[in-house]
Amino acid sequence: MDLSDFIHHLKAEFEDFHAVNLSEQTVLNEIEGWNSMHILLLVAMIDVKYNVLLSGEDLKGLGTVKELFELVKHRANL
Amino acid sequence: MKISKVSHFFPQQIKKIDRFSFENDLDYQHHQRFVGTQQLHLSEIGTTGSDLALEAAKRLLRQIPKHHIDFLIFSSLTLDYKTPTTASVLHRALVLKNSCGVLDVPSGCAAFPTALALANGFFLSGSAKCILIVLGEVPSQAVDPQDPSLRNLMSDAGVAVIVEPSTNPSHFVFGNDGEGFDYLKVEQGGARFPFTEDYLKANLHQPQLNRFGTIAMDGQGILKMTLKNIPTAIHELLRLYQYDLAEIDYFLFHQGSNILLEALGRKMKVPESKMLNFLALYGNTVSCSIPLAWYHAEKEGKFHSGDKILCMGFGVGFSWSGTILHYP
Repeated sequence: MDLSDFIHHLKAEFEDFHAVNLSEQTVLNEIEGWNSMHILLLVAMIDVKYNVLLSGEDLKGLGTVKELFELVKHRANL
Repeated sequence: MKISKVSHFFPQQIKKIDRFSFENDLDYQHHQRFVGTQQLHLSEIGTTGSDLALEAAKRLLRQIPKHHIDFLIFSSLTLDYKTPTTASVLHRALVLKNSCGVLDVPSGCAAFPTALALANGFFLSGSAKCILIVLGEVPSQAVDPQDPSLRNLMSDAGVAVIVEPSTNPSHFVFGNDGEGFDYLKVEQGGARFPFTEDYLKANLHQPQLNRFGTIAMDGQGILKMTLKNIPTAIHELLRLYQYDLAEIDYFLFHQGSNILLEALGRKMKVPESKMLNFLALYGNTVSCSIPLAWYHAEKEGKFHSGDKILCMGFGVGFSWSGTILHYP
């Protein structure tokens, strides 16, 4: 799993709404207009691309893109 | 087994979903992308699922002699009485023959394929040759008007379907994942949690909620349950029929929301042209959504003789059922 690919996938998901200068340091729930819809996109994208299904608990208090990447990477390797 | 005829009935009131339904542009854009409804059919307070189903069935019975019906299966999340079955109520209203059996299937969004499986069982046992499946749902009356995720999604409808035996053998998949129990439910009004005085008082200005209870949904949980269980069920169905995914002509999933259909389609690598999506026109009509989409696709001339149409219903429980139908 590669962090730059992960960020690329995230950008592809979110570009429909507004230009987001996503980086590994971006705090997800501080993105302008962030709401539950974004979480649905995240869950679907991460499952399709990485075969990892995250739960509500996993996504509570979401941190940075890098932290999310690390969580997915950890789950993918279990 | 084959679907021979389908009819439908909508309540008169139509609610248009447009930019003015939302506080800002972004919310509206999100709705269009993730939910997808552009109009909802809303029943009047006091109308039940069986009222809509009855009208749909009356339309259908103009095309087929009543005495041909050997069994009536009714599906709804809002049954008329604790007992008798609402199928029994409809049997009486439609004046069907006394030897026609009745059964309720209150299984939510998975109910239609389940009803098909039951019908197929009656055919195989030689108990029936022609079965009427009627479905009626009034979920709009169980939505709290303040609920942002449901108020622009749930829509009311009645559908009636005639199914008959065919030379194509039918297979079915079913399942239930208790992890999803809390993600979609109407808790009040049953034996476990009867309506309390507090609940009834809180809804004095929304009397429909005191009749049908209140739907609570965790959209993220439902998405997770869908992605966890439905692809596996689809692969099992393909195995039973010995078909490749590419041989399926159309995928007719429960019309839950755009995001559910899109996520499933992407995970299964289904071409968009094979995914049937009529959310814009009909909204989420619970158990009516699959036969309603069937009706519309057929009317549009999408289906051709011999087409393989994979139907999969999923929702409350979290439960699912599915089959593959061959277009006659």
